[in-house]
Amino acid sequence: MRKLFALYTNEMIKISKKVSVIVILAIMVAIIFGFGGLMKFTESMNAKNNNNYSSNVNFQKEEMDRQLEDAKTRLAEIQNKKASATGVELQQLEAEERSNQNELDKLQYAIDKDITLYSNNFRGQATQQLFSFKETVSQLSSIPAADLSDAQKQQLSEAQSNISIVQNAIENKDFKGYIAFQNNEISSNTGLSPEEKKIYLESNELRLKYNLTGEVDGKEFVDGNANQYIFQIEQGKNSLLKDLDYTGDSQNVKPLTSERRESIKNNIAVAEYKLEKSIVNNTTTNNVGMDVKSIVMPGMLGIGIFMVVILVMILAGGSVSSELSTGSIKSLIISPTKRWKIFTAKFLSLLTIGVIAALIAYIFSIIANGVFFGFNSGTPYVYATNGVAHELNFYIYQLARLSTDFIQVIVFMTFAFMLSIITRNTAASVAITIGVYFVGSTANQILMRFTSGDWRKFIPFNNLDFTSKVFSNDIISQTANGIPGAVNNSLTFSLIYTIILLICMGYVGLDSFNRRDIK
Amino acid sequence: METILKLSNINKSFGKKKIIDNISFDVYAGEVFGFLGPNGAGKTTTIKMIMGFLAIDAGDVFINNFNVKKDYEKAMSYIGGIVENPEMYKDLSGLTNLQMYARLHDGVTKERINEVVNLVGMQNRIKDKVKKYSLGMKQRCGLAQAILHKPKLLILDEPTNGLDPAGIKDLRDILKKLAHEENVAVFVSSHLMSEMELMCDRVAIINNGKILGVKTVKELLTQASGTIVHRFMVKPVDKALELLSTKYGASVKNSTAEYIDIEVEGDVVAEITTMLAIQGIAISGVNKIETSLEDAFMNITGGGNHIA
Repeated sequence: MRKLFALYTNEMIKISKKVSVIVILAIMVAIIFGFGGLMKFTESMNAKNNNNYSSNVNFQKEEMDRQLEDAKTRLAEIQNKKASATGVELQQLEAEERSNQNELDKLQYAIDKDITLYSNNFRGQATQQLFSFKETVSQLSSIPAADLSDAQKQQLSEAQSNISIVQNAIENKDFKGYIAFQNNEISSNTGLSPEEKKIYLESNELRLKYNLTGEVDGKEFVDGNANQYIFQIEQGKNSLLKDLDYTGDSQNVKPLTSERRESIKNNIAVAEYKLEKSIVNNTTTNNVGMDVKSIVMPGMLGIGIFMVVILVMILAGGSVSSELSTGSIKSLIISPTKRWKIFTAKFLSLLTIGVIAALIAYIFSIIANGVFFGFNSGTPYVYATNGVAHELNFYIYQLARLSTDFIQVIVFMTFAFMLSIITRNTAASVAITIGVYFVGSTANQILMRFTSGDWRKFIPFNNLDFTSKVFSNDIISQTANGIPGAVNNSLTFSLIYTIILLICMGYVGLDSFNRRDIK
Repeated sequence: METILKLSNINKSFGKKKIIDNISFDVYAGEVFGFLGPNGAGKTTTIKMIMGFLAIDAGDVFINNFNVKKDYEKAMSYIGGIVENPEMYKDLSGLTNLQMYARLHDGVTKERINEVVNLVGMQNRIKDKVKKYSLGMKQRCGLAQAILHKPKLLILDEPTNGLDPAGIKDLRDILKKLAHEENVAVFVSSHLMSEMELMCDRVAIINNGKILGVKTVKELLTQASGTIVHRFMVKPVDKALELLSTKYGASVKNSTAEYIDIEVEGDVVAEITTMLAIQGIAISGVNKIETSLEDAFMNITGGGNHIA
């Protein structure tokens, strides 16, 4: 143990005197600051060019004006054709005319009332609904009253009463009234079971509770996240109710496994918690007042971990081969220490340098982020265990993300270290490892092409992304995980796989190092 | 005598080529042991097997009675040495190199490091980076490293490489002192026979991977000088040869246009000169030809390494 520590100390002295280490770390810090500056610049440019949401409103208004013109032209065309039409054709044209007139009325109405039709604000949705009732009424009114069936008569009277309720809600900006109307609709829907009704009613209750009108002071206010969370909760509850997984691939709904059931419960807890605490995940672009630092910090750490990988690859790739080529390995072999101790000391020293470099990246990311965006905490990470939601401090969360990213560093480091021993060639070891690192995703796709079924689970690149597995509630990791065709192995599988992979590489390296004749 | 290094029936092949063929010898405490052989004889390979650089194909190496194969760390703790060139970390200072090496051994104090640095005469340059050192300075530094932990067995592979004459003399004195005063077993390999003659107590001669003999330097010299050769500078040589052929023909070793080498004792020289002078042959000189370890070596190895 004492010898191992002495060897380790010596290795640390050797590495610390390497110029390449200082240079790479300096470049890393410089890029982190550069990235922060760039983001700051982009943010200020964005602020100048007005923000997303008002441009969205303007865009919608222009679109509505254009649609209104279109509807007018179409209506004129239909009226032209009607002049020369007879019989069945005339009836068809009349139906078309009514539908077009309705569309035109809707647009005109929305423009008059300053309502945007195509977003989450409740008046827009209500307007859509209002005019679908109006269309029903106008279609049914065109039929002579004597010819209407009982069902049609009922439909007509319901639509007429709905029109007044909805119109009232729109014109009085009565969100409560609108929700009450919706609840009424749900309750009277005979196609839904009582349990389903309960789920939808609960969603509406949440909308009412958090006053998700989609507008502030009568103006469009896009808060997509809140509605998204409600949708998630609804979807999750539905899945649990029917024991079918609606949260995954909608084309291929599978029965729930017990593991999946647990994770859906947790997801519901997370969404409810976020709604309650208004911890809106700021990575959604249509969110007003988004917190740039919560996006920039992971970006900086991404750059950091990239440089750390490059650094440890270069060091590990040369750790044995360069000593073999310069002959300095002799002064190690000459000392009374078994070779496995030399091997272990070298490995541990590389690991230490990796950890130190990652911590430097972390510290300078906080500093750079603080300099450009302030030192206050960013959006915390919310996760749940056993259906109870917990909050993880922003800075601790970023450190945790860095740690899970670091597993990749260890894998590539061990690979380079092993190659360094086997090939006895620094350039080859470093080049091969960096090559594998860079073409990883391409190589993955090629391997995916030549493998099928369960074999795909065993492709290394499908098992190295631990961050998105551990922090599955993070939108950034969710999008990063969206590599087409990637196999989503479970965390346990990937962990066991990676440990076995590391042991194998370590064993091959150690065995080769033990047998190596120092000529 | 205490046996510090014992080789028994060591074999080593690189691929199909046998490099070391069943060699055995012992090195004792308090002696300077020379390991002589021409280039490619297997000297360095043997040393590398002793020091754990190369795996031993067959046979055992014992250092202070510890088997290298079984008690590697214990056996190695008694060894200090330089193999081929002294290799150090070039970006670090000589002192840092020594400190790093000291860390791997028990009981090496700061004072001991200073003492060794002074012993090899490196005190003025020890804080410079190794890449600034000359070969001779590296040799001194390497020696300092090798004796730092007071090893019982000091192994030096071609230690005089790159040393100036004064440095060689210093080294010789240091090694003799270590062996004779501090009871260290010093194992030195070289192809410089003249060096070994001045330095060693015993020598093993190796050629083509086989030990040709282990002798004291005195034995080797007397073995070589058992016959004394005199060189007669005469004119004309052919006439002299004719005169000598009857009585000393068998003793003539060599003859050229200038001289004749005859293997005779000193007291016969007068007889021969008188005989030649009477017959009117001009004698310009008679020299006794000294034999050295080098001649002994050439005799034993057959004049060097034969490339098969």
